Amino acid sequence: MKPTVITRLFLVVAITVGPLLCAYAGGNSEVTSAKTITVGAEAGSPYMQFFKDLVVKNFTPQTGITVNWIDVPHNDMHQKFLTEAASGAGAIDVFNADQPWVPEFAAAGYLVDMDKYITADDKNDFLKIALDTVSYNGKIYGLPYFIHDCVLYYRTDLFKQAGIASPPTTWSDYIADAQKLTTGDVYGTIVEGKQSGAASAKFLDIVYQAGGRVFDDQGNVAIDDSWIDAFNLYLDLIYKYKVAPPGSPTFDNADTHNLLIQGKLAMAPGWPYMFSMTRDPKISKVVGLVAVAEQPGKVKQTAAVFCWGFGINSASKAQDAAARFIKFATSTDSIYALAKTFINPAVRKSALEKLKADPSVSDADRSVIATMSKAVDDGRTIPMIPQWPKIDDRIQYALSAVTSRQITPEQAVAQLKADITDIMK
Amino acid sequence: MTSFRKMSTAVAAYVVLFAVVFVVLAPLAWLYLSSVKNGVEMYSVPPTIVPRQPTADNYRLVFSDPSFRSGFLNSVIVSFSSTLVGILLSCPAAYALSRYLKRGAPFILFFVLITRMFPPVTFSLPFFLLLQHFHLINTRLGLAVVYLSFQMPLVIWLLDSFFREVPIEIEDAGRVDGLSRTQILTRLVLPLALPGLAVATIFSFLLAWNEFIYALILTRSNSAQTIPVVVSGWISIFQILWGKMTAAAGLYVLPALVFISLVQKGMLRGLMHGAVKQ
Amino acid sequence: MKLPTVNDRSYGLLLAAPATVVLSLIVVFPLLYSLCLSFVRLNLLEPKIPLRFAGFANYLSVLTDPRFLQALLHTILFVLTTMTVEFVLGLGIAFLLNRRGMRGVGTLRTLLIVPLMVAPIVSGLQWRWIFSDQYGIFNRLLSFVHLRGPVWFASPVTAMTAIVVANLWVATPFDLLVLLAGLQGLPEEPIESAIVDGAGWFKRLWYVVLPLLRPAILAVLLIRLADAVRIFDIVYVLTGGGPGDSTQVFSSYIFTVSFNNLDLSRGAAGSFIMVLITAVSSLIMVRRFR
Repeated sequence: MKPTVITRLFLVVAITVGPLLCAYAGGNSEVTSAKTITVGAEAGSPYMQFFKDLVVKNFTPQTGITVNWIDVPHNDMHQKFLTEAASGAGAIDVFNADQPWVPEFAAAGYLVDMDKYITADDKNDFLKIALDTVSYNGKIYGLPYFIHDCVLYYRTDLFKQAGIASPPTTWSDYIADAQKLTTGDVYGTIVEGKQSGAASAKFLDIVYQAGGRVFDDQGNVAIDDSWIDAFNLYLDLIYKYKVAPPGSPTFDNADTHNLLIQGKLAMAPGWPYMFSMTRDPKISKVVGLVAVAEQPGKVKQTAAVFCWGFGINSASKAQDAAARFIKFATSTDSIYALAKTFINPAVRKSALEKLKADPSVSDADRSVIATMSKAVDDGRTIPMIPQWPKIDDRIQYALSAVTSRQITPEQAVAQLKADITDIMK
Repeated sequence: MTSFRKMSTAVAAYVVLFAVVFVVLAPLAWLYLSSVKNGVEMYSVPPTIVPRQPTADNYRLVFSDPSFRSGFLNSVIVSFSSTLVGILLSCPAAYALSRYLKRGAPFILFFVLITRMFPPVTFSLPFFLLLQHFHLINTRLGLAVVYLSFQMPLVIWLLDSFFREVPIEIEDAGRVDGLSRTQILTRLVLPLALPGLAVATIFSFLLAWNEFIYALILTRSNSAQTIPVVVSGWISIFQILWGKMTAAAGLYVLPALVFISLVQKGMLRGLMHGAVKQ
Repeated sequence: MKLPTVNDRSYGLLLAAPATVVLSLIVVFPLLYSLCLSFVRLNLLEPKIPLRFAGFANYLSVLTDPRFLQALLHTILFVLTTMTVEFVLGLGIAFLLNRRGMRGVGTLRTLLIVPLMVAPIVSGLQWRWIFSDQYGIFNRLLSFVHLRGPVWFASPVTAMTAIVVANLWVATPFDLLVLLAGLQGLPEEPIESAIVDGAGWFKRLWYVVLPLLRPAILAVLLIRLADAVRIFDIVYVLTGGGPGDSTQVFSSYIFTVSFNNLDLSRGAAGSFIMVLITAVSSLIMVRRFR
C-alpha cells in the first residue's frame, strides 16, 4: 500500500510544483517588444510616487512604454513578491527590491543578470558600494536608485543652550553630550531595541563603529568582543546614564522620528528620510532646529549602508522593456532629481556632481547632502548572501533580548556566534 | 423585600454592562479622536485625549484617494457575496449533519474544523496557483471563492450546534401535522435557530470584511483590492499615515455596523414571527 | 409538486452535497499541495537540487528545533490564558444580557461587537500606540491616578499581557454572541421546572443550563481554539516576537521558516504539526463533552 501512496503523492507534487520549477529554469523569457510593463513597488512610498510621476512625464512619452504599478505594503513585499516569483506567473516584470532580498532572489533564479544591459561607463558612474548591494556571486542583478545610511540628527538650539559647540564624533563625547542634553522633558538620545529589521539595521551601525563585523575577508564568522562593546553602549545609554527613553527596548525607527519631531530628543541616529519631516510644519514642532552630522564612533565613524533597487523578474515576458525602465529610473537625471527632491545621497557620481553645480539647491541643503554622502562614503554594506535574512533574524533576537535585559551581551555574542555558524553550514 | 433585591440585582447588572461597554468602546473612541487630530498633535507627548484643534483633513485625504473608494466597493462586494453564498451552502449542510447524517457528522465536522486550523501562510501559495490556473487572480470572484474556504467551516459549525439545540419533539410534531422535511426545516427549525443564524452570518461576514493575507497575495490592483490591503499600504518604511488610517478605519466600521444591526433586527423579527406561528 | 420520496439519509446527503462539493473543491487542493510539500525537499534557495522524497525529515527537523518548541510553549500559554478569560467574560456577560426583562439588549450586543469591525491592521497598530512608552495613552491614564505603568513590550510577562488584552478586545465578542444566542435558543421548560423544584441559581446553572448549552460551548471552544492557535497579526505588530523571542508563536515560526528561510517544505511540515496538535486537543475536548 505504501508505494502507491507515495507514487500518488509524487504525481500531485509533479503537477502542482511544476510552475515552481519553470521559474527555476528561468525559461519562458521569449522577449517581445512589449509596450506595457508592470512594476511591483512599495505602497505608500514617496519615492515610488516620485517615479510614477516621472514615468508619466518622461518615460512613456519617450519610449511609448506604459507602466502599471502593483503597490505592496512594505511589510508584505517580501512574501508577495516571493509568491509571484515562485508561481512563475511573470505578472510582475520589475521588482522594487530591498537590498537583503537581492542575493536570495538571485540564488533562487528569480532575477535576470543585468550584465548585457549595463555599459562600462554606467559601472564606473555608480558608487561601488551601491553596485555591491545589487550583486551576488560577482554578477549584477539589478540597479540601485537609492542609497542611505543613518546619520546623527541633533537639535542646534539645545546644543547652543547646553554650550556644546559641535556634534560628538566619539562615543565618549556622545555619552557626555547626551547627559548634558537630558533635561526633565527631553532625552539626550534614543536607542531602538524592538525585535525588528529596522532596529537591527541601526544596531549594525554601532557594531561597525566598534570595529566589529559579521564575517572576515575569508567569509568566516568573525563576531568578537567589539559586539559586546556595541551592546554595552546601548545598555549604558538606557539604564546606566538614563539618557534614552525607558521605552527604548521597544522602539523602532517610527518611534525615533515621532519623538524627534515632537521635540523630545536632543540627538537621534536616523535615516536621511527624516530630514524632510523635521522641516514640515504640518507634523514637526522643531522646524529649522535640526541639523545632521556623521554618527560618532568608537574605532571609527561609520554606519551600515543599504540600498533599494529595481531588478527584472526572470519570468517576465518583457525583459527588454523592463530594462529600459530600470535604466531610465536610475539614469543620472532621475537620480539627481530624486536626491534633490528628498535631500538624499545619490547613487551616481555624475548626479552628485550635478547637484553640487546646481544653483537652485540652497547651501543648507547642499551641506546636508554632503554630510549624508560623506556618511555613505565612510560606511560599509551588509554581507550579500542569501542567508542574510536568517542571520538578521538572529541579530534582531539578540538585540531585543539584550536591551530588555533578558541576557547579557556576553551571552548574546556567544549565541550569535553559534547561531550564525550553524546557519552558514 | 424580594422586589428590592430583584431591583438591586438589575441595577448591578446594568452597572456591570455599562462598565463593559465603556471598556470595549474606549479604544474605539480613541481611534475616532485620533482621526480628527492634526499631524503634530497625533503623536504628542504626553498624548492629548480631546483634540485641541480638530480637523477633517484626514477624512478629506481618505475620500480623495481613489484606492480607498475602489477598496471600499471591493470589500463590500466580496464580503457580502461570499457571506451570502456561504450561508446558503452551509445552512442545509449543517442541518443535514445535525439530523440526518448523525453517524458521519463527527467525522465531517472534524474535517471541516481542521481546514480552519491551518495558518493562512501555509495556504497562500497553493491558493495563488489555484486561482492562477483559473485566471482568477486579481478578481473579486477569486477572492470571494477563497473566503468561502474559511467562512463555510465557521458557519457549518455554529449552525450545527444551534440546530442541535432545537428539540426533536418539535420536528416530530411537524411530521404529525403532515409537513414535509423541507417545510419542517424552513418553517419550524430555521425560525428557532434564527439567533444562531444571525450570529453565524455576522461572524462569517466579519471574517471576510477583515481578511488581509489572502487579499494581499491574490490581488494586484484597485480592481480587486479590499480596504485592509489598501490601508496597510499607508504604512511605508518611512512613515505611517496614521491620521489617514484612523479615518479610513473609522469609516470602514460604518457599513459593517449597519449590516450587523439589520441582521440582528431581521433575525429577531423572524424569531418572534416563528414563535407566533408555533 | 411532490418529489419522489427519498429516505432520510439520502435527503441529508442531498442537503449536504453542495457545501461538500464546494468546500472540497476549494480546500482539497491547497491541503494536498501542502501535504506533498511537507514530504519533499523544497527550499527555494536550493533550486538546483532535484525534487526528492524526504520522508519525515522535514517533520523531524521541525520537532527538534528548539525555536519550534519555544514557540509551542508560548502558543500554549497564550491559548490557555486567552481562551479561559474570554470564555468566562463572554459567558458572564451573556448571562447578564439574557436576564429576563433586560432592555436595550440588541443595542448593547451590537455595541460590543464594534471592535471586530475595525480593520485588524489598524486596531493592532492602535494597541501598539496605546501601550507604548512616551505617547501611549494607557500609561498616561495610569499617571492620572499616580501610577507608573511598566514599559509594556520590554519584558516577557507584560508583553504577553498586552498581547492577550489586545486579543481579548477582538475575541471575546465571539464567545459572547454565540453563547448568548445559545442561551436564547434554550427551551424554557427544564429551567422553569428546576425553579419549581426549588433549585438555587448555581444548581440551575450547573445542572440544567450548562448541560443544555453544551453544543454552543463546544462550538465556541473548538472554533476559538483553532483561531487562537493561529495568532499572528497582533504579535507581529505589537512585539515582533520580542522581547528576545519571548512572544514568538506557532504562526510566526512557520512564517519565518517559509518566507524568511524560504524553506517551504519545512514550513508546510510545521503547519501540519501545528494542525495535528490542535486537532488532538480538539478531539480531547470533544470527548470530554460527550
